[in-house]
Amino acid sequence: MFIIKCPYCGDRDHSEFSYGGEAHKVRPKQPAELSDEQWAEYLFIRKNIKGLQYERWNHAHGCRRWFNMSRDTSNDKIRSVYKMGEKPKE
Amino acid sequence: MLDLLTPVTESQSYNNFSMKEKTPVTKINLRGNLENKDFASKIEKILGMVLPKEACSTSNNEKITSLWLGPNEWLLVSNNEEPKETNTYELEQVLFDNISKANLGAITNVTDHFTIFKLSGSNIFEVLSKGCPFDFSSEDFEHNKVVQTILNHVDVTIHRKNENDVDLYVRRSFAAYLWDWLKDSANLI
Repeated sequence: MFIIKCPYCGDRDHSEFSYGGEAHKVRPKQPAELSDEQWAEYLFIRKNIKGLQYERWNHAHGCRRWFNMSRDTSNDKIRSVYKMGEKPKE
Repeated sequence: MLDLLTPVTESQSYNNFSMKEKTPVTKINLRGNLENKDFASKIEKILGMVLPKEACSTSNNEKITSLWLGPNEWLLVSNNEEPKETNTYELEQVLFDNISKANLGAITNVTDHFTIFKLSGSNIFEVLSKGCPFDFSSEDFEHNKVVQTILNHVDVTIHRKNENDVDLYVRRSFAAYLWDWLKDSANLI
């Protein structure tokens, strides 16, 4: 059990949130020009880091807003929380 | 016109805790951008109050209370119960004409979507804490605060009106289930 600080609502229990996968994945501008492999890479391949990872989260049972989080996957320590469209602070 | 059926017909009281259903009350969901001056001034004029900007806060006048649900989302609730025969809501029409039609925001009537449990007594948070991860003893949770969270796996909106007076909003289809859970929990205090 751990506490997540929603950028809108403040400190809440993690059970109110849902995980939204890796953050800052940019959609290719011309998908039609990609090979199948490159397209599959964009669609399915995700990093699986032990350490600091940038993620998307949704405060699903609260304000229903999306936001980003940098979290250490090895010990669940949250480094920072920032809004959609913003860059991580460090 | 909708044939109003309440999911809960009884009222219950326990050791310093009582609950009953409060229906029908007008509830309107409002979406819009407060930084848009057009939207902000129109809303202020129609409602006769400023929408709460701070997280989890509320504002009210004699007729309506607005609850903060998100940075661009509010729930407008009538303070009084409506007569059971009517299903037309004047406020909805006014907002629709001035906000939705002008493309400033979105108005959704959620009157029949939510039902309200009126909880009272000094043991309210004793009961709610049994199934809720929110810390009700937090200093941020005073009078006239509203919080959206989960109560025994059900999405709820909890509006603390006074020290011992809470309105609990729950989706109608979950109401009977949550009511039974509240009865169970209240039996244990």
